[in-house]
Amino acid sequence: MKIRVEGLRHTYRGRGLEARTVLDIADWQTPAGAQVLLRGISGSGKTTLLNVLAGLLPPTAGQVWLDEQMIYNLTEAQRDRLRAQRIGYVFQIHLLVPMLSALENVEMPLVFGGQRSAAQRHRQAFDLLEKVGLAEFARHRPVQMSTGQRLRVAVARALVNRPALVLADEPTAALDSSAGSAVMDLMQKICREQNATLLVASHDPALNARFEQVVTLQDGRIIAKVNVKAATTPTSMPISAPVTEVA
Amino acid sequence: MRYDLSIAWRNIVARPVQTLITILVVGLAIALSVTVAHLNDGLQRGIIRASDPFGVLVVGAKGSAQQLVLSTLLLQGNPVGNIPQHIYEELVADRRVALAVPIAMGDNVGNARIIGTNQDFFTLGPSRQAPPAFQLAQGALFAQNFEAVLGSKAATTLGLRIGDRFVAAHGVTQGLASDEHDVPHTVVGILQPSHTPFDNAVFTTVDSVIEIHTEHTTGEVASAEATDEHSDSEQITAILVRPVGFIEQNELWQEFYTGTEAQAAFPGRELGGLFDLLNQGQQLLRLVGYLAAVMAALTLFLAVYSATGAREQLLAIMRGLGASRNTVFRIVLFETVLTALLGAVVGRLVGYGVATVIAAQITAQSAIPITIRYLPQLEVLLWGLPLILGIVAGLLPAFQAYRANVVEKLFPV
Repeated sequence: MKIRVEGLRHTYRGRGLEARTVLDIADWQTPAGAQVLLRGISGSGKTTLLNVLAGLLPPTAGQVWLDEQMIYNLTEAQRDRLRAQRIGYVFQIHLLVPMLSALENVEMPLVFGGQRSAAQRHRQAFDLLEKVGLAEFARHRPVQMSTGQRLRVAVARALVNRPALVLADEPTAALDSSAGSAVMDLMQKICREQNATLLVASHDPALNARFEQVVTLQDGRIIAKVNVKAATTPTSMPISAPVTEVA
Repeated sequence: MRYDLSIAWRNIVARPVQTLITILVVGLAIALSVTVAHLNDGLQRGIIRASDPFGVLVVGAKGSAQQLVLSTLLLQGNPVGNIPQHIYEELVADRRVALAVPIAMGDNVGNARIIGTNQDFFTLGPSRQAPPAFQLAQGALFAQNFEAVLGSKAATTLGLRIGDRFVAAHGVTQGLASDEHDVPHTVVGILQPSHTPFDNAVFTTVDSVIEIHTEHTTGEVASAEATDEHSDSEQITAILVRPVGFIEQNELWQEFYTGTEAQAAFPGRELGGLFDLLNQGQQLLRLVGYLAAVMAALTLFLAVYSATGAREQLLAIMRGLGASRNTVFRIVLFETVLTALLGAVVGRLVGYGVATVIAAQITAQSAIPITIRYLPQLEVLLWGLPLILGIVAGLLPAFQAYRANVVEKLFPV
């Protein structure tokens, strides 16, 4: 899925508080099938951008196109449907539904996406759990699983609808480096197989080398857009490192 | 929709203690209505059934007509008083009367009332065409004084069989052993169950009752000047009268109404008055039931409302995955409706159970046959009330879930 944003701004106006602009992007786009890393320190606007792209947070100003669709011209119900059918989202801290099994958690987007056949839903969800190596945990509830396993369930849930856009918010934050690496391998591989655009928000420098594009945010602004492979930037590139503008 | 229901179900199952308490509160409110309605219905039908066999007029002493009917037909409470036996004799001779049956009370044996009557009593039935309500199971009807026929329940509780002898005690209910009379009665017959309070009665001749009382009275006032002993002793308690027709029935009633010696009462009218009283009681209890329902709704609301925090993030996750606002609204509403309907099921079971136990106790104590039956007209109330409770209690939390800001709930600061 091709992403394009133009004149995007989001401002929080708390009662009695000064207005605070957390997102201010003049123009940015990425082609379908791209894998992009959004970096930036906490509060730089990564999660806000993901939420805006997911159709969850109407921006204060500007437009967002997913493929050729201006998503904030859609009704909320249409955006809900778009999210259920074409967007996968791995939330920060995974956010599984505690009273549902792993299989049931993975099935949810299929339900909201309109997949009526329960048998078909089970099959698709189970296939994804198999892909993430959790087939034997299908009936387990989140509380009975490790943090890494929960994250893999969240990844399976984000991918089960074969989405055109996958958004992941700090997916490796709670994992050790090898577990984090395994999850990223899995997510990137499946996205490549499905030709899905992948946007990962993270401040983990170890992820830099995995992505074709690294976009750095600071105070809600894109301060750098790097084609990592072209620039052969080291994986431990600091946020303030010199950048190469992608054409 | 099915998925929404299943998520709502999983939500309420995930909070077992809270859910159970809420179900019990709703259940008790429903149980109250179920118990009251069924007992009232059972009691009214039981009274009608118990009074079915006994003609259309009851003649007895002046006083409360309702008490006359209750004490004569349902054997409840003390008789109003006695009337001279000549009234019975006049009624027998009256061409407007098809049947007159004397009833004389005053004694008991082991709490079973002794009813002095004649063999006409055993011809009584719900209608002239219907078979008699009181039929022999064993032995024969009494042929002479101090022979007794036992009702089915009295035979069982007293443990008496044909040929056995017993002595009567003074009073319509059990008192002191020193109140016992000397003359023994002999059991000559036992009746089949009639499903009336007379199952717990013992029948003998009117003369037996009069004779025993004459002896009792003369013993007590031996030294007194018993100038009116004759009139005192030749008294009976009541007369069951079946007039030949409707006009005659009203004439007889009118005569007793204007007379001074006795009164005539229509069982239907008096029992109707009793039912009115019961219905007034039921209306009061219905009001209590409505209050209980309001309390149940508040409990339901509190249960759902207090779980808002835990539920908000769950619903936000669902919204984040593509669930619509309508979906989360339905899920919350289904939660309260499901809980209320479960309460309705529990309330129905508890209500039927309690009504059945109370009915059995009243039947055992009064011998008025109270049975609890299915009341289809209650169905609307039994399902409609909890449904409304569930919807009312769930609307506000559901609306809150509908309006919730997904991003705030997904990523609380």
